[in-house]
Amino acid sequence: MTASPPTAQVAGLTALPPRTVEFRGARGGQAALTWGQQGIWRSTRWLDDGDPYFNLPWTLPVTGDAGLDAVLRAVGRLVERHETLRTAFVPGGEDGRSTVQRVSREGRLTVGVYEAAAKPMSAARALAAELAATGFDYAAELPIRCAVVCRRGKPRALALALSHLALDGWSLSMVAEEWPRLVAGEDLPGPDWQPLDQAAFEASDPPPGGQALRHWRNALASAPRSMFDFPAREPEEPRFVRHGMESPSAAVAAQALAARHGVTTSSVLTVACAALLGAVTGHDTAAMQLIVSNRHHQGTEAMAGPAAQDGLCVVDLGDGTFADALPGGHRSTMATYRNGHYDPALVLAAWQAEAWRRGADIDLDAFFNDVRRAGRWQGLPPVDARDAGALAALRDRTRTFFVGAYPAVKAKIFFATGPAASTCEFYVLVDTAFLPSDVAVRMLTGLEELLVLAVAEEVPLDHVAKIAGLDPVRRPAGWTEIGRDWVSLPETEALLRRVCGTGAAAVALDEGEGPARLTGYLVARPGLDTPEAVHTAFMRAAAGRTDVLAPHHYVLCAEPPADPGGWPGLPRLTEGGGREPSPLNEPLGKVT
Amino acid sequence: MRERVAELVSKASGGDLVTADILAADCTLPALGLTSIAYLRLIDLLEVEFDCELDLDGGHLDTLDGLVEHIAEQRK
Repeated sequence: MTASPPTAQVAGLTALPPRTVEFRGARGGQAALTWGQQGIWRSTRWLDDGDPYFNLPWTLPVTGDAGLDAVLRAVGRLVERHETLRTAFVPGGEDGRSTVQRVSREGRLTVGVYEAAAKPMSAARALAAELAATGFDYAAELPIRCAVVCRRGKPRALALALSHLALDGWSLSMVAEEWPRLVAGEDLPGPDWQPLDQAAFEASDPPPGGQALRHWRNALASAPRSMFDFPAREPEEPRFVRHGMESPSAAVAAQALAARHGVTTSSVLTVACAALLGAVTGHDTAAMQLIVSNRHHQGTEAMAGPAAQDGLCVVDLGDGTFADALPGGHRSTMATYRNGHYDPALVLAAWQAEAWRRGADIDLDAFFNDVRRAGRWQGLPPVDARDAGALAALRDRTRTFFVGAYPAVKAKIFFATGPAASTCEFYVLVDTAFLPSDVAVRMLTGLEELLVLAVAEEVPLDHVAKIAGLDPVRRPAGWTEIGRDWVSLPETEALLRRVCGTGAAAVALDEGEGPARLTGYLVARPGLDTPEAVHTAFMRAAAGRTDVLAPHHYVLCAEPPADPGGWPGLPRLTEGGGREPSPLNEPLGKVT
Repeated sequence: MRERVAELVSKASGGDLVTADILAADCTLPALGLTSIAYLRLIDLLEVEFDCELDLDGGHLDTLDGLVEHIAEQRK
């Protein structure tokens, strides 16, 4: 297996002849994708081949007197140590159609060599961005490109582009710690857990992840079917917009709140994001997928390779204050992090089964990712958060900035911390088909405002939108709340009419005793003559929509009523929920 | 068992927290300085040590005494 970096053109850098590094690791092999690899792989499938969105530009310094040969040896040792850097993703498996990981035992890596006119680290960062600007060929290319940047002939930095399929943030930190020791020629003990080992563990009998699957089922049942159940808008171009913030005051405030309420800063940030999202979208229960690093398990702590998976966190905000929501939000957050290691196929089946039962796609496109090392800040400004004046003064140091805009991202909102240790580095990405791009900025400044204010006083959750300067979405007449879901009744009825083909259908809202329910009335026709057939057709037609909900009960009649309100009094051919049997439930039987 | 659980809390924290302080503390484990990942490491250690399954969806497991009670319940 080989790799060559594309020719990079960066101002201030002169290309010297590239070098070839030959490597030979301890083993090669092939296995199913680990559950962590599956997560990233599935995300890459959302993009066109060659899209560089999941590439990681990265720079490592070279200190001391190491010469070019020593740096190239260190690069070779790095690739030999970590099988993930020798892994291709190729078609395979029993059916030949799934994707498997294939570790090459040996191969060659072409390493660019450049001379910098000045500032080699800055030049290396620009070079790394250039190397990462081209997508990887996951099946044929090593997931690493690199080049050595020299100053007056001495190596000063290594510019890298890495595939996210090979490394995640945790792995990058591991490599960063190993790098100077490898350059110094130290003989490090080999890692004893690699993605091939992880794949074998995940295929063990009985499989791990039973408790995580139960967590997912419970969370799916209690989550709103979408946080974005309101009318979509004309998207901006490009559609997905990301803004960032650096706020030492938000970090100091979050830390003070965490200490006061006996929770973690990660939980404080998660609940704050849930509160902001709930305030904008009109929900008092927020569902977000947390990116779970899965590094507390035996073995994975020292594994280079993607281990992260998405975990479903449902935060019941209630109708009290922000402080009231913290203890429960913390428990939900911890339970989510605890239950982030699971077989994606089984969770997908549970997800589809819940959609079938609920009568709508379950859209979980709200994300939160805390990438801070060990989940905390270190070295925050020594400001007493109880000193309102000092905290206010710290806010002068806040800055917000535009990060980028993208044509396609699999998220409607994405909250994320940055790795900065001495400030709250925070990012919000929004899908402008649902929220205007300035909401991302207001979410950031609103996060700071909410946290700082919550240190000084109780903040009722129904004040959060106003505090943050956010306009709650407006739902036109005809929208109603059914359980945790907002539903457009006119659109639901229009879809049922379209499904039944004849246009003879109606949807009625029953708000009597017990939870509100929808009843769908329609005229039966061949092929659409059972509640199950109607439910199947409705679910197919409603795919991807966040405004409609399948009726809880279907009533099939022989002919329409003389007047539109006459459906309930008509003779009924058959009726029922249409949910049984659910073929999608079958895979759940595998886990005990 | 309380002392053993406190020892495991200390181990999960990588030694950042001392057993005596954990036993004497009158606050939650996060308030004592236990990070999220150390807490998750702790749950793994407790499950292996006491051969039980701890369900974080279920209750208040963020204090030493809460954990001890929950483990005792699980082992009945």
